[in-house]
Amino acid sequence: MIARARQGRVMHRRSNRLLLTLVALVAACAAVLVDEEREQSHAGRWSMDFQYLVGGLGFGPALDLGGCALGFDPRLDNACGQDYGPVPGGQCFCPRHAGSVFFYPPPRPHGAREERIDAPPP
Amino acid sequence: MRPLLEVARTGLDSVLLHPLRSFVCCAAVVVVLTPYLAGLALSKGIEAQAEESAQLGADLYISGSRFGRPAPIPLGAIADIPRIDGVEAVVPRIVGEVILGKDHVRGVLVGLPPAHLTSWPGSIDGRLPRDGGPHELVIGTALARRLGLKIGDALLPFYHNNRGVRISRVVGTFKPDAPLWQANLCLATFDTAAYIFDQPGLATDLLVWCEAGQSQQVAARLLQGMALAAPSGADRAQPRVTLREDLLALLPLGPLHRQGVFTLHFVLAFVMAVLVLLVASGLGLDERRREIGVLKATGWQTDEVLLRGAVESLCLSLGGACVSLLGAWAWLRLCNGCGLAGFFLGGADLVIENRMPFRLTPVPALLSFVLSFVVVAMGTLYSAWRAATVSPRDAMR
Repeated sequence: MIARARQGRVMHRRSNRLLLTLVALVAACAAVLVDEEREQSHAGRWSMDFQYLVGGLGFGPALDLGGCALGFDPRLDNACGQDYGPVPGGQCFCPRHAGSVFFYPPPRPHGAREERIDAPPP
Repeated sequence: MRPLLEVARTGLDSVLLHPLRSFVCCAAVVVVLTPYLAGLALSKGIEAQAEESAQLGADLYISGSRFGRPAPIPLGAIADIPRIDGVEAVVPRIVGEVILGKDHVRGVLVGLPPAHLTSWPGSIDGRLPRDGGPHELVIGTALARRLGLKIGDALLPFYHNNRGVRISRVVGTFKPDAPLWQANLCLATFDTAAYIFDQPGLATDLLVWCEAGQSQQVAARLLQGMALAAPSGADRAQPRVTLREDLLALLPLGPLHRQGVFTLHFVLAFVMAVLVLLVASGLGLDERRREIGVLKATGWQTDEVLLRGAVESLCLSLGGACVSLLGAWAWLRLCNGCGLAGFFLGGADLVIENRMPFRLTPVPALLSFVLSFVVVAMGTLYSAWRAATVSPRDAMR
């Protein structure tokens, strides 16, 4: 009887320790989230200065222009330089497009004089 | 209330009764959830930087197009643009590729007029480039590391120009906290960039700032009346206009869509985790079924057994979710997303020199806890319910 009671107390002590560990883990997560929020607002300033400085540059998964300026920034080119579309799977020749889960299509073109249907009469 | 709390407390005891099983459950949650959380945070960080790039840039960008390919714009074409109603400022820009060093490192050379540069020195260590004297460059962190350059170093000529070549000097480096795309950037004045590319009087694009709400009308007027031709009339190019709204429209088509695909892959991983937990927590664990049988034989009701299982699942999932969140944070903050960044930045090195952007926000953290609870509860509660609804004798057999 005494042994069973002692075993119960030990079990309770261990479960209390588990509860404390869980509380500590939750507190650590909360601290990380609060710290990250503060860090983001700090880093945002450099990001803002950089974009104002270069007039808006960089958008995609590429970090240089090597063969696919569209992957670096869609403002620089309207098509992937390594898109061999007519070949089956030709798009996959571009490492920026095939290797990233973060690519995008070219921006919508604004055609010159797109509202005119036909050339004016001579 | 007190009996319920006592039953709930046995849920905590239950976690400790089978340490190996609890460890396997937590490990299954952590293995699936950590890369998912890290990937989601990385994706959000890159998306936020892309959005900032579109929001903080010019209202519209004019570039030339010839045979559907990009073509340079003669600087003479700028003269008429400020006269268009709604235009506030026009800045010519050169963006082109340069190959540097004996290892042929690719760099992106950006040239802007000094008057535009002077307003925003915050993202740079050192100073901004100036005209006159040797070519002055501000270089990105990846270029600085690969070429072994620091502020004050000279860069031997890396281009050809019939008028002669000059030594360039590094006058600044971008801060590692600046956006990703600074990694391989070389910033110079407009004249320096034109000299390096040997393209005097040409720009690759024009940055146009407009009055509020006028960008669409300005774009339409530009497309109707603009002729991108040299003063001689030769080398005529078609104007191509990209609005800020066009760029922002790409975010749901690209990054957000891909983020969905990324999430979908992890749904499959979650399904696998549920199966692992089912095997580990009841269907494959005879001892656990016998334990529930004993509880039923000593007078426990099915709802009490389920409450015990729910508390146990809550503890395991909370522990797993917290460890996953801390693991994802350590992966991104301390290891700079090593091994994961390559999935988001195609062609990038696995370890990137500048700090990887990520956004670890409370919403994904909460989502991770809910997901892990669903995964663990599906594995635990179902098996507990199956064992609790049969007679104690069968459960104990």
